[in-house]
Amino acid sequence: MRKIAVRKILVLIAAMLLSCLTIAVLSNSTAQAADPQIGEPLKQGEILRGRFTQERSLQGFQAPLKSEGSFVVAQGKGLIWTVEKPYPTTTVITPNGLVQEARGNETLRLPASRVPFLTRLYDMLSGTMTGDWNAMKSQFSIETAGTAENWTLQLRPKSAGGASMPISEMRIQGGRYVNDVDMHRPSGDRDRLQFHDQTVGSGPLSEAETKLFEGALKK
Amino acid sequence: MRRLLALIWLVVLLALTGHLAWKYHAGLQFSTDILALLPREAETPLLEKANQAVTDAVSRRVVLLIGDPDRATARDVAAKLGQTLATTGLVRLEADSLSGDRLKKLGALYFPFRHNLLSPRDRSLLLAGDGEEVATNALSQIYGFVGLTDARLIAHDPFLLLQSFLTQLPVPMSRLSLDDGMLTTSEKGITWILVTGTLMAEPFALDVQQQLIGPLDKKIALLRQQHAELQVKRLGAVFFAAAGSQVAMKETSTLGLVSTIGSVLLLLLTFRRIAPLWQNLLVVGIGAGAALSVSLFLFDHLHVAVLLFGVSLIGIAVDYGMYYYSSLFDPDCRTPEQRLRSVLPGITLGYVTTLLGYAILILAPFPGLRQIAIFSVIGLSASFVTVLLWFPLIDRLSPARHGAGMLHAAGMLWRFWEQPDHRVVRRILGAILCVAAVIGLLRLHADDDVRKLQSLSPDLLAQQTEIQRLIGSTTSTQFLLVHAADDETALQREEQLAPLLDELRSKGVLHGYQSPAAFIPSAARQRENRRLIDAKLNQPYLTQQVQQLGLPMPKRSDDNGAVLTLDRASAEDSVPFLGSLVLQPGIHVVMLDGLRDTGALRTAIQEVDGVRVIDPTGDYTILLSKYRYRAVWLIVVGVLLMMPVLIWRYGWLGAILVKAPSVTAITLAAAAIGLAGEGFTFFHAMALILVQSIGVDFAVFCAESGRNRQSVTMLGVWLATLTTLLSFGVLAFSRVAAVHAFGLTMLVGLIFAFLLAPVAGSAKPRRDWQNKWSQSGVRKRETKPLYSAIHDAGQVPSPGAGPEPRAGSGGWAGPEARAGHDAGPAIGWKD
Repeated sequence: MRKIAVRKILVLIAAMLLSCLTIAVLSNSTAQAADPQIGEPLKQGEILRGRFTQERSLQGFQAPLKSEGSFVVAQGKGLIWTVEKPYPTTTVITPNGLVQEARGNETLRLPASRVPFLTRLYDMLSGTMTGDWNAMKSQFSIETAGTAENWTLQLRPKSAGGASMPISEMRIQGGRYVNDVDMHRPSGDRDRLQFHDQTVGSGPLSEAETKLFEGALKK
Repeated sequence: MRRLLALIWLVVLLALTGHLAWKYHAGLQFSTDILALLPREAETPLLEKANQAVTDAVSRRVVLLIGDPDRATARDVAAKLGQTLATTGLVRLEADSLSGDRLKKLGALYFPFRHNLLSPRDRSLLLAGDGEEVATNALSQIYGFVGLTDARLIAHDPFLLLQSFLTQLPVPMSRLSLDDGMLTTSEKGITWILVTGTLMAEPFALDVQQQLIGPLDKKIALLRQQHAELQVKRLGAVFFAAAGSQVAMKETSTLGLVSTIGSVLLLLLTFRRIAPLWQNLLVVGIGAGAALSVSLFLFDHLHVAVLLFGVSLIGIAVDYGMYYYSSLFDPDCRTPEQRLRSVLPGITLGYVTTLLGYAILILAPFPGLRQIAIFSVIGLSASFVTVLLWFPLIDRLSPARHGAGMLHAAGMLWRFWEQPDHRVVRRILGAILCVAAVIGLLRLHADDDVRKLQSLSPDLLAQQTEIQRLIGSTTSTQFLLVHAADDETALQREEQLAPLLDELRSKGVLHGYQSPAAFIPSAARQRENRRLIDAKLNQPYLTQQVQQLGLPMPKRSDDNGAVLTLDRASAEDSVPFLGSLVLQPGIHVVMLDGLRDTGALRTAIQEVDGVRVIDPTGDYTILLSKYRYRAVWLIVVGVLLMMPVLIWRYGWLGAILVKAPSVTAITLAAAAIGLAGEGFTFFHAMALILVQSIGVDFAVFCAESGRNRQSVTMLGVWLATLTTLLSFGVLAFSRVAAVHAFGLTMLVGLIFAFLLAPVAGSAKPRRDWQNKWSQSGVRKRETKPLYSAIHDAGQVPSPGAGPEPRAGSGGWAGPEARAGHDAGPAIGWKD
């Protein structure tokens, strides 16, 4: 049970880091060493869309588990992560928590109240979006390198091994947008995410997307 | 002769005092368990044990929820307050109840038996033959959003059955989760940290409350100064009890002060002497002491409620003293001997009727009422004997000469009832009271809900609701008791219950439940699960699943069909809460969350053997309802029992006249409760019993009063009313619902019993008693106006009955018949 709980938190951290870093970096100008200033936040109502491929290298598995799909980040609403292949699932993350659906059935619902770290993460990330890295730096040591067009961030948790911080190392590479995230876990598992086809628009959400966010906000 | 008897009485009392002292030295034991008042049932030991176990667990729980916008502050404060609780030495903190170790142990316990465990959802899918859905769900999760599951676990459990089982365990406090070693939840930017512990001492003990809450409040106040936005919410019986005793103590001091000062002033101002005061205290004191002493001899355990009500009932003895001392103002009574003689018939009849009223409680099949009855019968008798034997000896007072004004004032009420020129006013008043009584009685409704009687602190109740909402637990006191010959049978019964309870949950009748079988399925269920997994999942889909994931085929389990047993789980103590659910082999508890309709639950589960709904609050409510019902019946039976005595003394109509004031007072008091919109409870009914006894006393005093003593009698009744109002009537202002109920009924009932008492004055003792002390000889009296007064008050149902009394009608003795009979007291007192 502990492992599972940890995994869930891990997922959320990863998800939030990814989505929010994506947000933070999307109109990246310069990456400064002292106080990473790698982007303006999405403005209210702005929507980032893109596609991803995910590669999970798990201990004891013969080959990495590959999946691909699309994602939508709507400022002020949250993230929709749609796996298209090989098994379609939709995961919606909002300030209320996480909801997962597979083939029209809800398979998982994780309220934020169950995972307080999620709230902390919001603090951290909303900070980074407004240029306040203190919350982030209290949890991670951050190293930045490269130029505004091609930068890398390396994040290491300050207190290793804590139940609420199950990441041993995370490397993020990007230019205008985040392109590549490589996450290592203490268990030896590794997740690699690659993003492409990112676009920012201010257009309205589709009906299906609105419905998903609404469904996730429901109690 | 009297001196000898008085001496014997002194010896008896000394013996009783000695017995009391010895008992006190050995340690007085009072039962506070309200269940001790219940009629015994066959299954009581089992129920009691279950009740006790659950109630203890609930009532000893101490919960603090600490909230602050800053997580670090909340955590820091939680740690500090936990420390504060621990250093009192009264609380054992449950810091590790959900710690990492515990969860690891939980995983370790279940892992070897993962082939036997199915979540309700997976089980129903497999039962429906939809194994593919289970398989695909697992794949979706593994491939899905960055992956939720531990890789090593997937290799052993490619269908994620164990994960599904674990996440669907009905763990209480569903909104809490572990954050860095602390149970945490967050809402609206505030981090809430839970600190729980078990009180190691009795939550209802005053010193425990002070030792715990004092330091805690101090610490919280200190921390609040440092952190402006800090919130600390608290939950636990000890906090409620402390708030309750605080209210009670504050009230006791104010109401007690009013009562004491009022009574002392009243007696001093009236008599301008100190003796009536201390001698009345002596009478009540002897009554209570003797009752306590004898009751402790008769009963192993005396209930505190018995003390409370018993002492109240004995308090009536004050009336005898008041009546006796009012004779100080009777110029005809110069010696203590004469005073006693003048009041003896009144107090004797009052005593006999009251005794009957109380003794009837012995017949009630309730241990509590029986104890109250015996306690008060003994106490009242002791008080009566004291008045009878001691007063003439200790009374050294000369007749009072300052009472003319008071006597005149006291006699006014009598004159109001007697004089013909007040007839219209009487009729109007009677009509108004009739209308009020009808309206009030129509609005009267019973309400035995014990929760309303508890008068819990509203502030703490709000905190409780908030805590329960935030942590997602409703700590209900209702539960199901499952009893069977062994654990396996009990678990199977719980599995029978599960679908029924699930249905109630889907209807919204029930919020949730925790049964042992949800944590440890029965052996039969585990074997069935294993077959189900094999037939519907492994055979059709396993190869495909592991190929898809790129995993080697998991090893076939080699556990020879071993099942996880309750004994094993209990021994390892790895499942939290399980200990509180399994009381002993075969006797389990199913905790219920947020039950809305106990009746629906009872109906739903009636098919399952060996399961009982236990609802302590509901049981108290039912108990109180039974007691209320009995008490009301006992009032009626009491009236009927008193009648023969009254008829013997006053004749039929006279008896009705003597009974009328108290019956009317009871009726009007009940109507007043209805008009006040209060639910009628056992405590109202107990007060009515008291009103009935006091009312009869007043009426008997008036009936026994000679014409020239009317004012003296009324003064006695005045004093008795005022002292009783000062001691009981003030309770109407209590904030404790039960006490208020008692007080309000007394207040209204007594006032009417007093106002109507002179009505009984026209009933006269009809027996021709020889009385060698007769002072007054033949008294002339006018019955006409009195009779009409009664007629006006609507008490005598004789349509067309003129003011002319009819001889022979129902035993009513006309004035001629009684001329010369009213020589007064003659009840067996010979020097």
